[in-house]
Amino acid sequence: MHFHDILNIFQGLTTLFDSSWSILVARVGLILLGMALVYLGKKGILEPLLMIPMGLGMCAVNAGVLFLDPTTAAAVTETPVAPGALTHGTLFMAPLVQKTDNLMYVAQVDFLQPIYTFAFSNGLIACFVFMGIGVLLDVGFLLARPFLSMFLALAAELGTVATFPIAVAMGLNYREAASIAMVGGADGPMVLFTSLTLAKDLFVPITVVAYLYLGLTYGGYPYLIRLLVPAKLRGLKMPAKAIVKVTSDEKLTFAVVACAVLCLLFPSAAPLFLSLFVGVGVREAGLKYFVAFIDGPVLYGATLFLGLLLGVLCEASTILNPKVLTLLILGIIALLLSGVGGIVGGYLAYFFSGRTINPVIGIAGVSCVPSTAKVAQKEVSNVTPDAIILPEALGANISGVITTAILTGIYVTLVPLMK
Amino acid sequence: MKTVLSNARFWSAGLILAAIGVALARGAAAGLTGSARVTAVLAGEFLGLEGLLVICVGVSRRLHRAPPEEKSP
Repeated sequence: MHFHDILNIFQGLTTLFDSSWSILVARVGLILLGMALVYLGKKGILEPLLMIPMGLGMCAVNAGVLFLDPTTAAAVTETPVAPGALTHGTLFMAPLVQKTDNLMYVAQVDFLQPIYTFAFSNGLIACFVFMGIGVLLDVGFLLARPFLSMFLALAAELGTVATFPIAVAMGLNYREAASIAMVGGADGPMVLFTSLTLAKDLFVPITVVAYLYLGLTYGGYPYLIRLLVPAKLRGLKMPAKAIVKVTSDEKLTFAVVACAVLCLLFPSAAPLFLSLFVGVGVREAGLKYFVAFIDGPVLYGATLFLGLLLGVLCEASTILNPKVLTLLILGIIALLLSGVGGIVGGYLAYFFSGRTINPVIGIAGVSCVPSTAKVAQKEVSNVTPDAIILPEALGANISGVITTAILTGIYVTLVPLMK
Repeated sequence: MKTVLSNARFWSAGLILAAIGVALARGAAAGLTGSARVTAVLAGEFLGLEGLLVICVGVSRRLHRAPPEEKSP
């Protein structure tokens, strides 16, 4: 037995030292980053439902690189491979394979390929997550206070709108700029959907950046609130209102009408609207078994595989893209501007309402449901424990989801028309 | 469906406004080119969304007019 035969037993290590320096450093860095994500997820600093599978996937895909046999290498690279050539690859998935024959071959070899091809790259997983969000939403909060909810949601879309020209100025094309601007909407499925539709080459780094930052909003937004809203205003008690019930008939009818109108206006985003309003409709129609199914296996199954696939997509050779640093900067700009816009909207509501509305509810216009509404309530309760702003905050939160979906539709419809 | 039918004015107005918006954005805009098309699409989308807002306002007004026995503390 020769020494190189022994090396081939531990191909994960052999391929590491057979790579260029940049790939070696990237692989080791991503393995460590994956471990860090698992740790932060366990500690609750980042969202554990996504970070645990994502971190593990990131570790495994960057550790488990091997030398592919010539047939598999030819299918993955989609070019002829000489018999003795050494091609690095993994047995997880090959996201860049396009041709049908190669896809069918790879799907039988790479265990995550079928889920990636038939559920992730066509946006199905994003739609499943959106269905789960729809089941959790109570649109009654929006129907009860439409002007306040819509106004705050629009104000909180500042990041989604303003980041687009900033991204273009930083050198991205219109499609890439629209995709990264959607991070300001703080809604993972919509970022995924937009980037898959408009900027497929960059959807991996955009989506990874989006989900990483979205996990941080729960930890970062309280500091933004404390910076921009003084304690006296944070603790403002809003006038108590009798709770009035929006009937399920009204909510169901609204869901049907809104679904039809929005699909007619934005057919490119119709899968998202259908998914959201199916969830709402099933909830308001009282179909408890469907609610339990969507709220349980569908939502959590989709979240699990979303995290896993995002982690596995973070293979060094896929994610190393010169634009990643630009995307990291633009992502944080988008979320920051959205938070600031929401709070500015909250201040405007405070002044126009005769100083009765707590400006903190503006942050709930950022559509990370229900995280931002909970953040708003928590910051208010820290100052005045018996101040309740959650109903108004939820109205803005739910409106934020719908306005972000509308912005997705606008970008997906209009950006391809721009030359 | 009683609560929806009792508010038929707002539901109808909202639906009509939304339909006009859809017709403008998807119908009329298709025959235009360049900035005229973009303008027509945006105007139609705005009208369509306004139609949904009218429906929301109608529900909100019904809630404010609701008699005390429909309200819970």
